[in-house]
Amino acid sequence: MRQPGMYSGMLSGLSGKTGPHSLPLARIKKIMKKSGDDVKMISGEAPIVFSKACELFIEELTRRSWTTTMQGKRRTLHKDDVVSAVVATDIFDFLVNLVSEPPNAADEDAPGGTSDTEH
Amino acid sequence: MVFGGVGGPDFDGMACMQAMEVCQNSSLPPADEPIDNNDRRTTERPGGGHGGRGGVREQDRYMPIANVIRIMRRILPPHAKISDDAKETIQECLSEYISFITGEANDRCRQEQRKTITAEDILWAMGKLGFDDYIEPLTIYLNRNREIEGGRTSNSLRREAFYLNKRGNASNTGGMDYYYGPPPPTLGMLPPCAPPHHQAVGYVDPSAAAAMGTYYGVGPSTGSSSSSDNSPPQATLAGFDPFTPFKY
Repeated sequence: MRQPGMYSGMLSGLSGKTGPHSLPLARIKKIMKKSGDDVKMISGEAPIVFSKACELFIEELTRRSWTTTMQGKRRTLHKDDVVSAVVATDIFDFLVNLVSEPPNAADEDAPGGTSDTEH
Repeated sequence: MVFGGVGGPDFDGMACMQAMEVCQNSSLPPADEPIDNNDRRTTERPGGGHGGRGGVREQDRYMPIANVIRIMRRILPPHAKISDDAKETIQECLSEYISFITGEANDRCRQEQRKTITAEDILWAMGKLGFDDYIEPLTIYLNRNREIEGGRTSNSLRREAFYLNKRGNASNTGGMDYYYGPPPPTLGMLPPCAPPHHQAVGYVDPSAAAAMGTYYGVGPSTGSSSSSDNSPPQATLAGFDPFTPFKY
């Protein structure tokens, strides 16, 4: 497994120091604000906690997805593997609708291509 | 004449450092957001073309895909490949996760009539929504960050700036730095080009000296311990011998 080197590890925030985090804090903040109309103020620490939480989330989802990939004796992780992981994990229930939607076609001409109206 | 202020370190560098901290947490697109040419969503439909998404840019709704992939690769064996649709799906799931947790945290804040979502609210929401396993590592991470950040109050930034400055200055005065100008006029303290223990004259007025590049003796020599050295150390002053008045 590729491991980050000592310095790149520090840069990606693996050493736990502040400074550059693995994920851009401003983007996290934007997504948080979009989650509800009445989200007003976010403390400085909240995006920092999220940057770590997102890492943990991606790692867990990836790990579980890869289990399905290995069971299929494949080396490429496909979307279906992610869907299986979501379905099999209770705490990922909130994702079930999101991942089982029809894939966004590059062309919007297909009927039902937009997914926002379904729920 | 211009002094840097009593205690030279009190300069704009501190404001710079504080500005840097602000910039890191601002909502302006920061330098740490990579421009990701491989992310479909950042290169296509910058206006957010899909119906119903309003004016929201697609790239603002998701974390940069390069970062997501990098984290995935920590888990996967080196030979593993990831299909594009898997990458995008995880990217979407991630945004949904952030919204999900934030929504719950925000509900709690609203109920308790608080306006700001704190890190504690986030941790609480994670516990409530089943992500208990995350709470401990997140708490450790947060506390570690707080320890580091706790040292960087405005006072310690001031000290930091002072010591950084001090290290850059070879002066052996052992006292205040003269980075921005002569030191405050103190008996025995002399401008940087004249190490005090070599100086055989008495008190000089450094402000006057700095302004006019000359030294004015104001009394008989105080006779320092190394009084054998009578030669003027400031030979750099073109031909000017400040000890002339004292030669009897």
